[in-house]
Amino acid sequence: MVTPTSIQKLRDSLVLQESMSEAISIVSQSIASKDITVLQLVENLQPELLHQQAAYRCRAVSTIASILEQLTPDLKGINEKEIDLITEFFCSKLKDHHSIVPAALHGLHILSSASRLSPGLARSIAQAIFQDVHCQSQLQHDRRTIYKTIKNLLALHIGELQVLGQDFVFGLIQAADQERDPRNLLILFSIFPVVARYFRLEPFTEEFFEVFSCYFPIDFTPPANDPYGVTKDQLCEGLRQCLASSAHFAEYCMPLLQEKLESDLVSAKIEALKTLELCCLSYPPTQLEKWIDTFWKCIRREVLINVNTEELEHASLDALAALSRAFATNGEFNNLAFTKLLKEILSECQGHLCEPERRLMTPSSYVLLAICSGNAPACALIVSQVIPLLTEQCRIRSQSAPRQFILNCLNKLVQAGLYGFTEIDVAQSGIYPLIPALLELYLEVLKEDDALLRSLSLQGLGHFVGIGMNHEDLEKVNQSLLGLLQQPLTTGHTVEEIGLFFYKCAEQNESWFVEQVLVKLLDMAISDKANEIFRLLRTLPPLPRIRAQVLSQLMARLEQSEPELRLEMLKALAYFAQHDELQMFHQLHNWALETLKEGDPPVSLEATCNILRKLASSLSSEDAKQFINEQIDRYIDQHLTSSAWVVPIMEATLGSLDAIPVGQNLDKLIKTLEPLTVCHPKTDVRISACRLVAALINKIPEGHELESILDSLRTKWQDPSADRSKTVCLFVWISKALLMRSYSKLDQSIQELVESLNDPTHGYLVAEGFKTILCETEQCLNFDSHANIRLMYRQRFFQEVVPRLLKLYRESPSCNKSACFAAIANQLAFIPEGVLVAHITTLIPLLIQCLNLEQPDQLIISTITAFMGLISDNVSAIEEYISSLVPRLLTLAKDGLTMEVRRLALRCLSELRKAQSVVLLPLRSEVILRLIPCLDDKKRLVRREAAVARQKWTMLGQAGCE
Amino acid sequence: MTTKGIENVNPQRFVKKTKREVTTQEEDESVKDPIDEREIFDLLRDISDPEHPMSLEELNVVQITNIEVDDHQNSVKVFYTPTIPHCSMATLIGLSIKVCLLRSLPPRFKVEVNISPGSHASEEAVNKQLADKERVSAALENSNLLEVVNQCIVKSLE
Repeated sequence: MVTPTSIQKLRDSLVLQESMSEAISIVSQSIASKDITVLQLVENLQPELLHQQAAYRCRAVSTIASILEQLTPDLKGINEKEIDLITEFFCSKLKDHHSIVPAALHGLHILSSASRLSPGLARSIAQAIFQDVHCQSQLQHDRRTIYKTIKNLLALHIGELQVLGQDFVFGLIQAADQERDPRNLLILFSIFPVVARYFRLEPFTEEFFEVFSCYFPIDFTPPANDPYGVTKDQLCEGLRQCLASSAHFAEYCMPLLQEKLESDLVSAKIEALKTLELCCLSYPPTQLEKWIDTFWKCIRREVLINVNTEELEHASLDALAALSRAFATNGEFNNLAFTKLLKEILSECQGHLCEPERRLMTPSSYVLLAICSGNAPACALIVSQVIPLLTEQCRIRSQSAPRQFILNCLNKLVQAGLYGFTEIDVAQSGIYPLIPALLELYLEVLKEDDALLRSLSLQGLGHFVGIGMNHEDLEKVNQSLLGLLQQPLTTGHTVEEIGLFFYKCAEQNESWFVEQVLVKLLDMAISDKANEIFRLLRTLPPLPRIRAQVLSQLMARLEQSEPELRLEMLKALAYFAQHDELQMFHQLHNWALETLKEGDPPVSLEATCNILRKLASSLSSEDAKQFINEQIDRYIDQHLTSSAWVVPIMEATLGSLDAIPVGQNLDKLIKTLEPLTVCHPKTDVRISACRLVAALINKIPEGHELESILDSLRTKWQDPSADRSKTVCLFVWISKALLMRSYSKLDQSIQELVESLNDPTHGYLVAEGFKTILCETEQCLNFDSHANIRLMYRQRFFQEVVPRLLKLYRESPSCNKSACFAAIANQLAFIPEGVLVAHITTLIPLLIQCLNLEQPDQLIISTITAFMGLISDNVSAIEEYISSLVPRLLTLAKDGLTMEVRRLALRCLSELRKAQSVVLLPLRSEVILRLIPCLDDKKRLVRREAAVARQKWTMLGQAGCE
Repeated sequence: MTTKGIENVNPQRFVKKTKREVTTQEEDESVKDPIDEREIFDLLRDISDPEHPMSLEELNVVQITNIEVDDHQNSVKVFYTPTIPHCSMATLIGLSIKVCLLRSLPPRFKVEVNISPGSHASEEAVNKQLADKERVSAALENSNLLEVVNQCIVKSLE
């Protein structure tokens, strides 16, 4: 027989003990393409496989396994018969020298993942492993291979393994017993539930249960920098699934859980309760009922007697809900034990519910709600007994506080009674006969003066909308709400609650709501409560009929109203205005132009512009073009000559449309706006003009036209005779417009921006402009107003500008340092953390220098804010700088000029507690000492921050604070 | 601590006060805000009871009317009311109040923490313990006690 060259190569490297990966991949490719067969391979490797030295044999077996591994998942190029033989081969190798076992296991693991094993093979693999390998004397890695093999076999060939029956269970018990490695346990915990479900465990049930129950409750802390990432939660979850996997475990599991519930360890109790919750799903009621009293004792102790962490309380209540669910039956109670217990609980809790001023009232209501949540008959019983009791309690009490507690509890029960179950069960939940009395109570409370009680009553009433309340009731409620709205004392929070109630009504039945409520509301909108009504309108759902009604009414009234009312009306209009409202746009636009006069702008200008902007941005580009053609001349020749305040309106419309003026129109517009951008005396007009020009620049296609406009603008902002503080604004906005669209000559603009930071008087203004450049603006240059925005322009700008700023700072000693700092600090809030981290080592030392009493307050504030952002997102990035940061913060905290600086510095010191204690501890005594003067700051708000910071640092490293 | 022997399982609870509103005076840089009763109350109100997950305010242990402050004479007096007259936690609550004030008030103040007259069986003994500097600092040397005190205070800082 001729040895194929590929195998020859493999043998050579095997003998020479070279790296074999190349040879292995060649051979596996030849097998896959059927140039050679596996049998040929094995036969050719015979000298090595039969070698006297185990090390040689081991290498040969492991080589074959590696070749097979390359052919997974479907063992390409190997036929059924060959698979049989190769399986037999690996099984027989398990009997060989102990050093060869791992390689053989590796081979079997690969075979186990193939779905094409012929009948009987899976069984032989399992048997061979159980018989010939003593699992627990293998290394962790090899035990893992065994478990993974079993898991694969269970997943693909469970039928065959079931034939092995008890032998398999016994084998698995032996293999898995005393496993200690968390990685392996995770695999085992996924195997056990399958075995428990599909295998007959008798007579090994208890032994099998012991194999995993001995880990309960899991106590595991992953080592620091654990590369495997096994967490305690994963293990707990896995083990819980095992314990709850079969009803046969009940007799062993229940005592175990009870024992852990008695323990002193909170974590053990929580684990036991969570497991109990899961067991309730799989264990039959007959098993649970023997233990129900015991478990209730434990749960009662945790919820009603002891005072516990929220987690333990939640776990207890969840377990109780699960228990109640386990006893849920379709009709009556047919479980005596549960019924007896329920009555007992009910009578105890009823006692507590009658003492609403005491602590136990709330937890007992939670207990009842938990029972309600799972079990319809129990819910019916509780609802029918407790609701009348609470209604009565609410009537006989006069103080506000206990009544608040009662109403709160009542609302939750009403919700449970109405929504806990499906529609059919609501009828059974026992709440229907109680509804009239409840409505009466809620309506009574609504008439009282206590705002807190009123809003609780409204919450309760809200539950009944659409379920359990007929038209008559609803009308009654709405009448009292409308009456309530007219009362002078009804404000703020109550109006909000009424709005929520109306929202639900409107959603339920829109046309009824429009006819019965909305019409009356709109009528009331001229009274002295108009402000509240408009605010309420803004909380209604924008459904078509409601919208139509509100819009037509408000547009009609806009002209006659008081100026203050107009603002509220416009806000309501803005809420309801949607797209496709061409007519409304023109109407409002004309109205806005008419309101303009010389002198101060009308108060409603800003609100009107907001709506115009919204409507303008939604016009189609045809409508937009038409509007431009009609309006440009009128804007420039008529309106601008009478009032400059038309500029904000122009900005709102022209800046947001999906089209720009072209040709002569554009020329004329820019020529008109240019002088306004730097010369107009009113700041608002000037900035508005700058923004409009920027919005246009952003949209004009690149080319000759754009260049000439830019040139002309450049002469404006570079004009040495102009007021620099005004030209900076134009310059910044134009830079923003160009930056967003990734203009081809952007480099030049950025360089100009960086250089103008050097201006000794106005450099700081430019630095402030960095904020404008990066922030999202509401008025223009955003996606809604069809601006030309390239993705990630902020990051690109930051990457471009930071090196130049650093260069400027380092190379020109005379540069305006504070402007340089500010330019950096102002960008930080807008840059994603990932980009920031790359620059952090160069930037942080600079930023720390900004924290200096000589720097302007604004700079200090934005720098501290940047640091706080870093602390909350990624504190580890700045840990190495903390020792130089803290002393500067301490100085600012004591001597900062404004209280804002002092407060922020103190808050930043508090936030630093998020860093690792190891880093902070060396600074602790200094901080505690130097914070003392801050405790006596003359401003109360600063003192409050100082007290928090000092307490936090005092407790650093002490018991009870980690 | 939580498992055994709670003395007052079902104490009366009270409604909390709203947050102190920031006045324009407080925002004015040039005005000096004096330390007043409400400021002391705000420091203490959210300290939690060692037995219950409720704050001293909710249990009416600390009330604004039982605090006396004299900013000029540098004195702060706090009278607190245990929920029941034989509450064994009284000393611990007092200690938490005292420690919180010592950490967060300027050292010029003389801080006195006392039980409201007539509200506790061993009123005098507790008052004496709390007034004794040496005993207070000795108590804080005990890491178990310190842990409980810190746990009570730490919630008020969130």
